Amino acid sequence: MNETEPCGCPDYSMTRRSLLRAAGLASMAGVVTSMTGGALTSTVFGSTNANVLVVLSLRGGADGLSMVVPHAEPAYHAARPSTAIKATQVLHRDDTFGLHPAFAPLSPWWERGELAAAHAVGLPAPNRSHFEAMEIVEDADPGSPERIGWINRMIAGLAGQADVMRGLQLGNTTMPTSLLGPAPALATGRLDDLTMPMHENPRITGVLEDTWRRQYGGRKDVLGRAAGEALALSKRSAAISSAIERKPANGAAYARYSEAGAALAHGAALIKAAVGVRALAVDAGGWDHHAGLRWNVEDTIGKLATDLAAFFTDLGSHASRVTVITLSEFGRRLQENGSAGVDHGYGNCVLLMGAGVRGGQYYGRWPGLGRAQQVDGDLAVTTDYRSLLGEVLAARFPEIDLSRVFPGVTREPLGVMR
Amino acid sequence: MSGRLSAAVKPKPLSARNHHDVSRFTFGVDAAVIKDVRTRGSSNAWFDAQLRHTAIKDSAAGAVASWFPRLSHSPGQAWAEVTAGRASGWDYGMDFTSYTLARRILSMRQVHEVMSDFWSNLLYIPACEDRSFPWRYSYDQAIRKNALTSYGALLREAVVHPAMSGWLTNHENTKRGVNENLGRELLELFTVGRGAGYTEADVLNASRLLTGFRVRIFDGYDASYSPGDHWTGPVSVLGFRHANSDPDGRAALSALLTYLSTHPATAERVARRLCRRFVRDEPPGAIVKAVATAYSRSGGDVKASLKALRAHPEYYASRRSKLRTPVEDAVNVARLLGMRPTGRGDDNGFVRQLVWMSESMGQQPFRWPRPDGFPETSEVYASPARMLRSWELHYALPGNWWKSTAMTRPKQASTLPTQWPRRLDEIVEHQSRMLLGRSADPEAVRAISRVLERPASARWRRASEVDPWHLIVIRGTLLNTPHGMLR
Repeated sequence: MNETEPCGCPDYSMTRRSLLRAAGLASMAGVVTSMTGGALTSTVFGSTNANVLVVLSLRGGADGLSMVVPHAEPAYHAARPSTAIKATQVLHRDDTFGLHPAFAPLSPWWERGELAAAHAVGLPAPNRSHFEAMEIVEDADPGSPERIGWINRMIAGLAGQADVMRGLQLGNTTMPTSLLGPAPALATGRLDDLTMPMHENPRITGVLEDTWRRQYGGRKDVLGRAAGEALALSKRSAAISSAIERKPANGAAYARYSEAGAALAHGAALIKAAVGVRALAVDAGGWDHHAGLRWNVEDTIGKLATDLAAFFTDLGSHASRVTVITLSEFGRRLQENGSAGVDHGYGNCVLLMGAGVRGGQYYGRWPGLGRAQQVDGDLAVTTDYRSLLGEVLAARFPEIDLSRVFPGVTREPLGVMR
Repeated sequence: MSGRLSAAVKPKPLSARNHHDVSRFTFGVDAAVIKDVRTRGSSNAWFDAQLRHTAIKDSAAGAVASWFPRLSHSPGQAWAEVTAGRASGWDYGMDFTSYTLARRILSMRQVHEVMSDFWSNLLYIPACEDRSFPWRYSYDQAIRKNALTSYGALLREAVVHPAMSGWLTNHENTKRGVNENLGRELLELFTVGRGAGYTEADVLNASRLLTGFRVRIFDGYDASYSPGDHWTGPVSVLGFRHANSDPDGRAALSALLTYLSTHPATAERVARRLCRRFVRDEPPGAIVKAVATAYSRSGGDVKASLKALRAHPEYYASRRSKLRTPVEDAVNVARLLGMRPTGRGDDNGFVRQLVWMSESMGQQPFRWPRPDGFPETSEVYASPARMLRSWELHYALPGNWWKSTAMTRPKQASTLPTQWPRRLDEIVEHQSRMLLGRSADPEAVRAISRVLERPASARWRRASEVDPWHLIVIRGTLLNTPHGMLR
């Protein structure tokens, strides 16, 4: 069931004796115990060189043409009489592109070369369905009938012990497709209450752990696996709780009423607390701008920029090991619709920020927006998003076998990573 | 054994087959359901009676709407309340959500309740959403009215409903500017699905037929049909053709919806989704095909489709394989423990707390942000965080640790056998039969004995001697067995 752990679940094979030892270790933040091949080992996670990938999903299909504006394209201005961003309004303009003015909070990162944008990125074939496109983006292995997400394959390929904290979605307890699969992973809306029932009484908790290990341990289904990972997770609840109680550092101010901001704040806390997070998935929703694109997108971009600026400010020195990439299921149509919005389209932009990014510039093989270059009225895709993700993983997680994460994908690097 | 089921030292569970049937088609197998099945002779007879839902007396559930006066507000009234600052769309949504959970706990018409949930999640509109909240309860009533009729009837009600127009911005879809939001979801989510091979032109044509429906969003929410906004001219969608020359396009749209509802690809998709909910996450092709065939032959009839599903061997073969969703989990435990909401209550009102309990386990009812509805598969709810919170709540609910108000529950003695003294293992066995419909897992008996620090042979002389703490441990530990998590 799990390639890296022959027993299936990292925590099931623990004996009562090792449990007691684990309970003793649980007070030490960042230390977990697990059992492999009969030997109890302790692994210290989060050493300073442990790199972290943050995948920010812009749910709903973000309008890449509003985010990274192709200001020099007459077709863009013609197709969007009421919603185009003028060349004079954009930030960090080059001959082809400029950033939407609402990205202003991120300007310091752009100027320091820690933020880059790539354009005309997306799925190899158009898919204007939110749900199918998201499913394909997050599965990222269309040839396989198994439902295993790419982040799950990524964390399975990391060196060292499999662990429930490695792949983490914050903001939502429902597992996203990207995290589904045999490698242990966690999705949670909140980080408090990750404790065993009656945890104030270790004697009772010990009995319950013992019981559930036996009751659930033999099961080969999702329930069995989730239970095993739950037992492993509960041992870290104290470390997690104390991490998230800390206020954002360095004056970081996340956007108000932003669920993504709240999730990123917790993410920053966990990364700094070194509890073993290697891949963090966060949803930033609200991009499905069928109507009122102009003010809607300004608002969503503003929140995104504020949250990302706060996240990197909050991380402080830990920012040197954290790379953020934004993904969205599709871009929007070039032509604005009857509601001054934009319907589902195809090619899109991707933002890359943080460690290893060669920032302060735009990347991509820009196809242009002329009628002959469009795909059914949309921006074409010239870079498979998996190639770009592979470029990031290769730079930041060299031990990962990319042919297992993105089977059959030929990488065509854009040079965006150091 | 007369009177209450729990009076017996060894209450007799339903047969495995009957138990499977009711565990899939109720929100929790409580003593009332067991008694009903027994009285009628089998779960088949019970199911048939449930299909004639209007003949079942249901006064407790019928009274729930009256706890939430806002639900009876017209859309205009609701908007006036919001603009006057007396309530928010969120308040309306919370009332609606609480109302729904209360009905699931109290209703005697469980099959109707379960199917209303199923269709409501397929033709999904969230609660608390700005463009649809004044119409959300009205939409729910339309779904409920048709929950056991045909998918065509459901689709024709849902697609043109003002709540749907608002939610999927169809109110802005006019002949002057087509907005294809609803048109696309109609094909992709509500009917044939992507695999049917429709084109972008089909999406456009479906969207054109959907022009003309107006809702005054953020302005009283009046709904009307405006022939002046309707796009006229011939359309074709996946083999459906219509001249669409009448400025009132509703008849043409209705014809399209009927066509789509009976399309073979729709039959297959609805059948698969039914099987995901009621059979297993990845249902075998044979049962999907059997249900799709019944669906097609009956013109999308709900009862005929369910009959085929329940008759197929894969249905029974898949027993105890579905992990309850968090919402199902909370409602199930409330039903098993006889915890009944008695009103809206304050912020600690029981139904409201059930919403937060569900949320803590990973599913806030009616708050899925996308039009595809909550996933019907178990695996997405099987996060380790969910397990920890379910385990916790399975003790918190029997102990009423959240101190819920507006709730009644049975007196302790009335949930225990009448003959005493009884040993600990006998009480555990009794509770296991009552809560899980099966004998106690020896592992659970051992755990309870260890937690309580009493041997399995420890005796209690009378019901009143059983400490509430003992029962919390017994019930929570039983609910926390794998069998307690699965339906």
